[in-house]
Amino acid sequence: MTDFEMVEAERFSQALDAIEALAEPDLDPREDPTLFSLAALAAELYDAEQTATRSPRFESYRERSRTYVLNRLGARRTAQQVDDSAPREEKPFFIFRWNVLTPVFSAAAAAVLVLAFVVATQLDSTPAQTAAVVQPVADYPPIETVTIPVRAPDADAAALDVPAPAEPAPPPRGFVFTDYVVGDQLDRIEAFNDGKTGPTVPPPADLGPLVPGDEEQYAARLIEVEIQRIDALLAAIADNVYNDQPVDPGMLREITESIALVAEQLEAQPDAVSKQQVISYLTQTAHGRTLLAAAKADEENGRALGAARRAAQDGVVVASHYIREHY
Amino acid sequence: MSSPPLFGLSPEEERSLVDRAKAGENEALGRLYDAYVARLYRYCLTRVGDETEAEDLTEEIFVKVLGAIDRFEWRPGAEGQRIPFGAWIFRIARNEVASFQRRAAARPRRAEFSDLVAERLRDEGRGPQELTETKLTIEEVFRAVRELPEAQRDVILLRFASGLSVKETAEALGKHVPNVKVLQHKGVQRLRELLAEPSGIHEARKP
Repeated sequence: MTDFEMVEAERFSQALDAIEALAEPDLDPREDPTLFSLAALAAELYDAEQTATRSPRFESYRERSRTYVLNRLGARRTAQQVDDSAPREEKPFFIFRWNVLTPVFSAAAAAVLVLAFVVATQLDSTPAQTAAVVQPVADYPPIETVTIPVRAPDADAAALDVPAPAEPAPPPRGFVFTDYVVGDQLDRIEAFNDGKTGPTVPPPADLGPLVPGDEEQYAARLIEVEIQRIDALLAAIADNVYNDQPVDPGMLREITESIALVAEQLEAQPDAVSKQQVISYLTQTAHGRTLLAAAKADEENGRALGAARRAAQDGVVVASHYIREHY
Repeated sequence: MSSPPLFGLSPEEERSLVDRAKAGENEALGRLYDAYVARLYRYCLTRVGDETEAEDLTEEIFVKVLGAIDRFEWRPGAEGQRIPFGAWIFRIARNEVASFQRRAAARPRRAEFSDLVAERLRDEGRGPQELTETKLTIEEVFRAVRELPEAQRDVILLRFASGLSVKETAEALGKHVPNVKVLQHKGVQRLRELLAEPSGIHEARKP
């Protein structure tokens, strides 16, 4: 690097400082055309970059993402506080290791069985004997195309052998969604739903700051709000599926986030959850799993749909695990 | 010569918000998010060239950065400067984007950035004439940025997309201030050369 390059770089930097301070750089286009044109290009570069965040799409993303990030951080802090306050359970050395060794031993045992079966088949079986044991392919019934029906939530709960509510779930204990909507969100809900037919989806609710000591209440409110949102989102997704329309990726991302948030709360704040809520969540995720399996994938929603399907599957596992542990 | 917008918070405001956020104050976290979301999104978008991926990545980075804010320390950085919060964020963002790109290396890109920009400009209701003119400029600028050598591209992105100062950029990249100034100068020079080339050259370079 020559001294001249250093000096030029310094002068250019000073010109940029002036541009950033909304002042005209001290450059004369006749005396210093090269540096002047570089500074002009730099200013254009600033403007071009700004274009990327001046769209309605970015504004919509910003609001949605803000709520998601803050809720996620709140949930994580809550989990951390619970974890910090919980007494540490000392696990005996052997049991701790056993958790790791169990799957290893299982795999080894399975491998031995397969090997034994293969060796026994190789040594003892004749082709005729094998044919007697293995059913010929021609004997199988012809393969039929199966259409997966989009089942009602109750049917999914029953399929999972979980007690489903005898009647459709009543509105939870006087909960009013708009109690947890702040600022201009009511206007946004109305604007979002204005003129639309069919299911409508409320925007994420802002639960406000998490007050120390209020973790359980906060988690309960969060779960209530998210379960309401999942219901609305499932209805909107079902609308698309029934009409054979691809589901909007934004909607898929929202349901993924809501399902994940509730799962996180079930694990972090198990005492904040009512039995009715868990059952609702299980039926929702089971229904969602079926619905999303039937949803139409396209170039736009492919990744979001995959994530939503995984989230619904995880939600079923988390809720089932919770029920097994607590009831 | 048009003027760039003002970026971010004053150092005092930022410091106060960071301290409050470290104490678990939700409102402070929200204000830090507001201050950085557009800058971080632009950085991610220019690096990955796909709006949806840039959105997901921005969100992931925020959860990671703000979730670890209690580990952030105002410790002295290079040349005795205190490490600013913005530099810390973009240091993490740079690693996250690199890691994302390694994971996505085998995946084909779905859309060219120019198409997205054109779509956005249509959203803003500009006329066809203006659309054509603006589209060309933005399209070429962003494509040219991605053709810069890595060191120059990093500096250009942090300075122009993310709005970091020279000092913050130096901290984020672990470089000295004079080095960043030279890279910034060379980067804009190289951009001018790339933009002066006929667009057919860019087309020919497209995979």
